[in-house]
Amino acid sequence: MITTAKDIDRDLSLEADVCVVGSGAGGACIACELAEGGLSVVVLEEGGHFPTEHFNADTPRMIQTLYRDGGATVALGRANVAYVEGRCIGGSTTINGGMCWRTPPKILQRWAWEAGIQDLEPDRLRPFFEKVEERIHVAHQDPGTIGRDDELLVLGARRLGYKVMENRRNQFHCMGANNCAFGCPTGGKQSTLVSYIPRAERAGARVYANCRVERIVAQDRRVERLEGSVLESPSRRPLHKLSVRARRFVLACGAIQTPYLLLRSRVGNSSGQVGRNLMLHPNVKVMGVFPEDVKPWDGVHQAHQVHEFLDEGFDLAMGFVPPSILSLSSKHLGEGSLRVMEDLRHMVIGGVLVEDTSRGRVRALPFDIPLVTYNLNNEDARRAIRGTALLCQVFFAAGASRVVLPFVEPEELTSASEIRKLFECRLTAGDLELFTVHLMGTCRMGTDPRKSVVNSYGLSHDLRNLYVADASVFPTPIGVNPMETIMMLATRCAERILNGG
Amino acid sequence: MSSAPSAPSVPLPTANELPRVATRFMTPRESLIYAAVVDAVIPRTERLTVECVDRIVLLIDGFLEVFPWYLRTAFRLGLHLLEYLPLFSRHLGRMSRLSRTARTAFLESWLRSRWVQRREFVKGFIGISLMGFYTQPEVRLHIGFDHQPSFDRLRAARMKLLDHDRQGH
Repeated sequence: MITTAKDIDRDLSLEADVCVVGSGAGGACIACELAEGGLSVVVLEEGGHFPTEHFNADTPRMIQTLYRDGGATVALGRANVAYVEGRCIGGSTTINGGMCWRTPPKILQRWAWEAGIQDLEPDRLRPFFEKVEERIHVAHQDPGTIGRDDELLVLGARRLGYKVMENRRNQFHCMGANNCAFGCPTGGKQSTLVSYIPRAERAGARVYANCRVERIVAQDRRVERLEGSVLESPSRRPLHKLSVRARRFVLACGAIQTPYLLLRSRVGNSSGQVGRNLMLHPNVKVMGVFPEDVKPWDGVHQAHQVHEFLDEGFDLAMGFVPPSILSLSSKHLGEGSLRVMEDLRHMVIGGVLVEDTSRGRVRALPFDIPLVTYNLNNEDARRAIRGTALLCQVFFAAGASRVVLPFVEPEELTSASEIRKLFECRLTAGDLELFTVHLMGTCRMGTDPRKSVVNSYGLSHDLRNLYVADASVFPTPIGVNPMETIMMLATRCAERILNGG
Repeated sequence: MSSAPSAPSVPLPTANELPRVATRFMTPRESLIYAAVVDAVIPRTERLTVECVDRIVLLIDGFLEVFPWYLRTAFRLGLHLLEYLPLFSRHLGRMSRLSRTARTAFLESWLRSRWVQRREFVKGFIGISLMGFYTQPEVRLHIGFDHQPSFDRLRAARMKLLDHDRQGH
């Protein structure tokens, strides 16, 4: 039974062995493992609790209830990058596409070499990956649920001889409703809302929604308590005070909110690295228009990815977004926008995900304002443009009649021979329309306390009872969807805690 | 880079014909400015004309409730800025007093500007207005996109599969 603001009528004071802040990939996972290990666990989630029955096709309503700040979150820089974070029970796993990839071995090796992270050998990590995959039902998609848009992407890529990988997703009888980004309406996607959180509760964890942590109070290199508020929903007006004492604390609020909480509390930052090193896998969106009726909303969100170019630092995939969201990045108004949307049923919406070398930063400004900046460098811009060109090629190879581009100029291409235009018109970072859902790296792991925020297991270098268990600990971007890596690291961290580490 | 908008197929409203909506987070003045923006942004063609400016203003007003205070303030300040910016363009008038054609031309010229800051400034207002438009049931019907019925069907089908599993098949 998840406790929400409606169930709380006075100031809330809690005690536990472990207090976990956040209920997404990292928070729910570590809470579950610790509760099953016999510890008393409290989970605090800032957002509300919305069960599967709540999720429907009313996209604006879903954004208002499930996304932080109504989805109006942007990293400012040469090219602004729109990003989204889940703020609800389940965190970003409630609103992600559910793609599950183990951390690529080359990334693990890089972490071991560059950051000195210990115990990352594949044999050591395999049991953690297997445990996570069992808990969230990681499996290939049932062929009957794969949409025509995905088939066309695969067709184009295979005709060009590109390496296509079948996604594994956290799903159980996924029906291909294709509403992953706004809450799975059938319950098929095994977000932490329907997997780890219920399991944690069965093991005795107490889960509180609408509870915002505002300050970490530390003394003698230990966190003493967390302070915050119980918030009214949806106005987010503070209703009651919140205070939690525990022997250990775990921050799992994501790569923006975790560093922001540390910075505004002025703790855990002797290295000066908290909030730095933000990486976000910038994405560009490209739309292929086909003569046939594609109906891109029929079928699973994404069943395949093109991994031919992973070594170059990007991959290609498709992922439908409803017209109301597609229109947010419209380059037209009036009839121009309608003309694009009237082709929606003939479209395949694809994206290029760049494994970035650019870096950004999270800062805490006065008056409770988080400032997120990110400057896309020329190298990443070049990769995004090359990825766009290759995705255009894939669409034309699959039979697209034209491709709508994410640039002011050129706006669209009508044949593969026009792809060269992308390189002739000297596009720069500022010309790119970027978005992301993969935020990483702002409290990075490492063995050197001068260059990192937490150790190889997520324990703070500064505070002896504070752990971080989300994507903010990644020392580098990973080039693939990060959910399973976050869960693996959280499981590994939980084992360390249970063994007295 | 501004291109002339296509000729509308319905009579152009004057600014004082814009709908006035009782908003909770925008002042009456701000809701009027925003209505002027929405009115200029949404499509009106022979194929589809949906008078939904008031509905969109109310929808976006609802978003202000979940915005943190600094975003809400930025949105409202942006509206006031948008109101006066056309004074410094060839249109020489306030946004809410321009004809729809002039408002559309002004917004389109900023949206297609080579200057990133200009583009980014209007893009947010245009994007959320269009988001409101493409949420309208008539519009979804026109473009052939209606997700909800398939959700209901798929929910029922998944329940059947789960029952099947429970019975040990």
